[in-house]
Amino acid sequence: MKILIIEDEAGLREVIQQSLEKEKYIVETAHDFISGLDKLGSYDYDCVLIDIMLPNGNGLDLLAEIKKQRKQEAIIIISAKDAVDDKVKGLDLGADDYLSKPFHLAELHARIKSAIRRKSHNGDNLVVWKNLTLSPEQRSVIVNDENLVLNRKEFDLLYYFVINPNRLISKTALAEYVWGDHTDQADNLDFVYSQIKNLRKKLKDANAEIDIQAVYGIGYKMS
Amino acid sequence: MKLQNYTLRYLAITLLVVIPIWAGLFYVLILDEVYDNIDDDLKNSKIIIIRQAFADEKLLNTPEFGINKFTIKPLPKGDYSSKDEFSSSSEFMEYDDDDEPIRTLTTVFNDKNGNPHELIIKASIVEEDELLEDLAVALLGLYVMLVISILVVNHFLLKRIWKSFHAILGNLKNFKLGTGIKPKPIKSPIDEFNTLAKEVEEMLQRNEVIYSSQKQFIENASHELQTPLAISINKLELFAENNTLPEEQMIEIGKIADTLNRLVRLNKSLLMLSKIENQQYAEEELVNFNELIQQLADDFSDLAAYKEISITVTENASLHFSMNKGLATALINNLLKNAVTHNHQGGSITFLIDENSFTISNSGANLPLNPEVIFNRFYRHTNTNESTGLGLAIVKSIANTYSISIAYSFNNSHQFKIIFPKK
Repeated sequence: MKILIIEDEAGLREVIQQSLEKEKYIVETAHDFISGLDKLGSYDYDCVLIDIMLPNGNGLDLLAEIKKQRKQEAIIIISAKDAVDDKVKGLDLGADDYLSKPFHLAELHARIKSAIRRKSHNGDNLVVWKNLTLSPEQRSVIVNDENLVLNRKEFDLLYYFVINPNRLISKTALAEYVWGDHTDQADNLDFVYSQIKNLRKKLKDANAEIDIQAVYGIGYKMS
Repeated sequence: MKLQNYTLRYLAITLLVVIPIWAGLFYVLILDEVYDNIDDDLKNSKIIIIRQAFADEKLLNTPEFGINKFTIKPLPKGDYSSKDEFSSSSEFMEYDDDDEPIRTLTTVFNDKNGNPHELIIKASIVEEDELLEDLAVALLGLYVMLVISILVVNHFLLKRIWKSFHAILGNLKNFKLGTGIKPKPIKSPIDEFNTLAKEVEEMLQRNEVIYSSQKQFIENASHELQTPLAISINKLELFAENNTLPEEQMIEIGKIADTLNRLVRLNKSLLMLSKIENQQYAEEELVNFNELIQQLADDFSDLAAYKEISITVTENASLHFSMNKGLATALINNLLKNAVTHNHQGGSITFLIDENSFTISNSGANLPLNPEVIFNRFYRHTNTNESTGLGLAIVKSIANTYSISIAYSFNNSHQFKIIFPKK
C-alpha cells in the first residue's frame, strides 16, 4: 500500500510518515503544490493526504487535478481550516474524507483504512482480527461464526480497536471517536473505562481472541 | 408618521398662515392702485370741466349734481388755496338701494373774470366690503385647491419618487454579511437617491471585503495554532507508543497529552465564538428541538451514568425553530456539558420542552449563581480546570445571534430557560 503525504509542515509530515510506516505502508511525501503535482503525475498511490493550505497553491486545486486525471486514489483532506465551506467543497470535488487538524494518529489510521477499503471494490469490506469479523456496513460482529450483539457505542469502540491493532490509542481519541465532541472534560474521560469494561466482558464471554490492555495515564492498546 | 404625511401637515399649516398674509397685502395694494386710478381720473375731469367752464359760462352755474357728476358754486371773494382735496364718503344709490362708497375731489378755481368758484367732482368706487368678501371666497377656493393638489401630488408623484428610497431601505434590511447576496440595482429619477444607492452599495461592499478579510484572518490564525498543536500531540502519541517507559513517566506523558488536548479545546471554543460573532454559520434550517434534545441526552447518557446522574426529558409540546443546525447542537451541548460538570454524584438533569421554550435544570451547588457574570468568557464558578470557561459564553453568543433569550433562576436546582422569539 502506497501513501502520499502532501503537507508543508515538516514536523507534521515527519510524524505522520513515521506513524504510517509503522503500519507497513510505503510512504512518500511532498512539501508543496508543485512537488505534490509532480509526484501525483509520476506514480500511483492507494491513498493521498492533502493539506489545503500549501506553498504556491491550494490543496483543493490539487484535488481537482487528481480527479481530472481520473486517478483512483483515495483522497483525504487534512486541514487546519475547520471551515464548513472547504469541507463541502472538498467532498464535492471528490475527496473521500476530511480531517481537521489537530487529529489523533489513531483517527488518521482509521480514516485511511476506511477510505482505502471503500475504494477497493473487491467485495471484501470486512475487517478481520483473529477470530473476529466486523462488517462496518452491517455494523455486525461475528466471533467464531457466531453473531455477537453489541450496542452502537460498543461496536464503535471495538471497530476503533480492530482498525488500530497494536497501537496506543489515547482515551481522548477514543472518546472523540465514539462520543463525538461532547466529552470536553478530561477528568470525565474516566467514563470510557466503564464502557470498555463492559465490552471486554462481552468479548470474553464470546471467546473472542482479543486483548484490550489499559496503558496507564494514556489510554489503551489492543493486541 | 410617514414622510409624505408629515410634509403635507406642515404645508397645510404654513399655507393657512401665508395665504391670509398674502391676501391682506394684495388687498391693500389693489385698493391703493384703485384709489390712485380714480384720483387720476378725477383730476383729469377737473381739467376738462374747468376748460369747458372757461368756454361756456353757463357751466359756472351748476349748483346741483343732477345728471352731472360735478357741481360748481361761486365763492365770495377771498384768497383760496387751489390745492385738490380728496375725500371718501358714501351716498345712497337708487340702483343698489343702498349706500355706496364714492370719492370726491374738491378744488377752487378762478373764472376768466377772476371770481373764485368751488368745483366738486364725484366718482363711485369699489365697494370694499364686497371686494373683501369676494377675495375671501376666492382665497378659500385657492387654499382648498392647493391642499387637494398637494395631496394628489404627494400621493402619486411622491409615492413614485420615494419608491426607489424604499427599495434602498429594502436592500439594507435584507443585507446580511457573509451571504454574498448583492443588493438589488436601483434606478431612480432622483439624483440624490441614485447617489445614496451608490454610496450604500459601496459601503456594503466595503463591509463585505472587511468581513471576508477578517474571516480569512481568523482562519489563518487558527491554522497557525492548530498545526503546531497537531505536531505536538502526534509526536507525543508516537513517542508514547515507541518507548517502553516506566509507568510513572507514562502517567506524566498522559498529563502532558491531556493539557495539550485542553489547549486544543480552548482554541476550538475561541474559534467557534469568533465564528458565531462573525455570523459565519449562515445556513439555516427548521430544527426539531424535541429530536435534538433526545438525541443529545442519549449521547450524554454514558457520561451521565458514570457520574450516576439521571437525565429526563419531558415534552409538553413540539418545539421547532429555524436556525443553524450546528449551532442548535452546540447550544444544547454546552448547556448539557455545563449541567453535567457542575452536578454532583447521583444528581439529576431535567429537560422541559414547551411550545416556545425549553428549560434545563440540574442539581448542583446549593447556592444561586450570579446571572450577571455566568455568561462571561472564562468565568468559572468553581476552581476546576475541567471546563474551558467558554461553554456558557458560546451559549449566550448563539442566543444573541437568533434573538433567543436565556433566563437563569435558582429553585433548589439551577435552571436555564431558553426562550425562542415568536415567529
